[in-house]
Amino acid sequence: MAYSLRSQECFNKVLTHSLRSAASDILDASSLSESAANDADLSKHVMSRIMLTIAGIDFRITFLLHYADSQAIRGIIKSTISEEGVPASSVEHSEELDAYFLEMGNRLCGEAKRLCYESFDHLGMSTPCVLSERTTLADMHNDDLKCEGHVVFQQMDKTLMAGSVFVYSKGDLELALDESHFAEQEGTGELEFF
Amino acid sequence: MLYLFAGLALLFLITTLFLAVNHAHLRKSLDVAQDELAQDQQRLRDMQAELSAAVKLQAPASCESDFEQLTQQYNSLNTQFENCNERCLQAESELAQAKIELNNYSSQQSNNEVVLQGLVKEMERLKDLLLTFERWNAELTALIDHNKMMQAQNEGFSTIVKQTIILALNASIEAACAGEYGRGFAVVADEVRSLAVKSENLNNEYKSHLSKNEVITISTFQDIQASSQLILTAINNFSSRLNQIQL
Repeated sequence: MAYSLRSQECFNKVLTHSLRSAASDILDASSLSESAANDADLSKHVMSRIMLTIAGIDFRITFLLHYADSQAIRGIIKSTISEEGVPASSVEHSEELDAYFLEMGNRLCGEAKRLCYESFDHLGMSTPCVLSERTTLADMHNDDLKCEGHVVFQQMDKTLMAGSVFVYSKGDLELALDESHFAEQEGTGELEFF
Repeated sequence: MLYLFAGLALLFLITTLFLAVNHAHLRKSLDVAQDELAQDQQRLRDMQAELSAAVKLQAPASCESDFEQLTQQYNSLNTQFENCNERCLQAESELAQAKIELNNYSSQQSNNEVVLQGLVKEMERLKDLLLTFERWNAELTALIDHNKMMQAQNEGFSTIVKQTIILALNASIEAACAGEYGRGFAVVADEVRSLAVKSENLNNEYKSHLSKNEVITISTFQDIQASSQLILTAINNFSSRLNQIQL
């Protein structure tokens, strides 16, 4: 993968920042620890996956949102308080859990698209799709894959949620974002609730 | 008679004498007048000479410098006039050229209006691409559903293969229990088991391909979906900019 280190770092930051932003309710209500991961680490965990894509003119960026279909994550979601001050919707069934993370995936992708607009003019965003549990991270690899990055959120060494970014392009693709792009949004993010 | 004749002769003589005297007197007056005229002419010439002398005396001091200034001004004005004339000719030529260009521009503008109207229609037509994208969306959704169905079938096949392996194992056990009579059956049971194991391996590969196929299908589906959004947004932006053009 002939790709600049800076772009890789930027895509990883976009992933991390967007996931933090999309999952802020879960992160605020829990003590999940965040850490970078690689393909092999993430493959060890059996988790449900949601796929989303941002398309540019000559590239695409695919995000995977991984989550454990477990009581631990359900407990965290239940403890979150929605904007209206009432508990979050039920996530007892797998379909309801999927629906919760589909919504989170939309927020993740929307935030990532907003950040990518700083470097790219024309972008489009897909709707999220739930992948079957058979799929593996290796299935995401092809000749056009330029870079990938992963971040996991754990509770007591148990991975409950994770995010992955895969960048596919035939040619060079440079994403140039500095700290101000992330810091500014973090600073104003809370204001959006008012 | 003689006296009459003498009297007439005397009268004639007196008359002649009178006329002679009068002629002499007139001649003298004429000479005087001629002399006065000559004197007046001489005085006039003298005055002209004096005037010329006076003009010659005053010319170097004031008139010549005025004359030079006037000459310079005249030359300058003449030059300006020539320049103006040249510019007028040039402007006339440019005006004629501008008229030609204006006509060409008007003609071109008419063509541009036609082209613009064509472009607007094309852009409106391109908005119908949404229907194409919706068709692709539906087809890929069908492909994803079909893929899920194949995965379910693959799961069913996998279960059958596993059961076949167990069945073959049971058959081998039963054949062993039958002793000598079951020896032939044991060979068949081993072959069935071997085939079932091969089927299981093949099934696992097939499962892996189906899994990869699912990712490729969904990523293509999403790529088309996102690209459709990108294209339609670009078309709408281009269309609105096109509408802002006023020819």
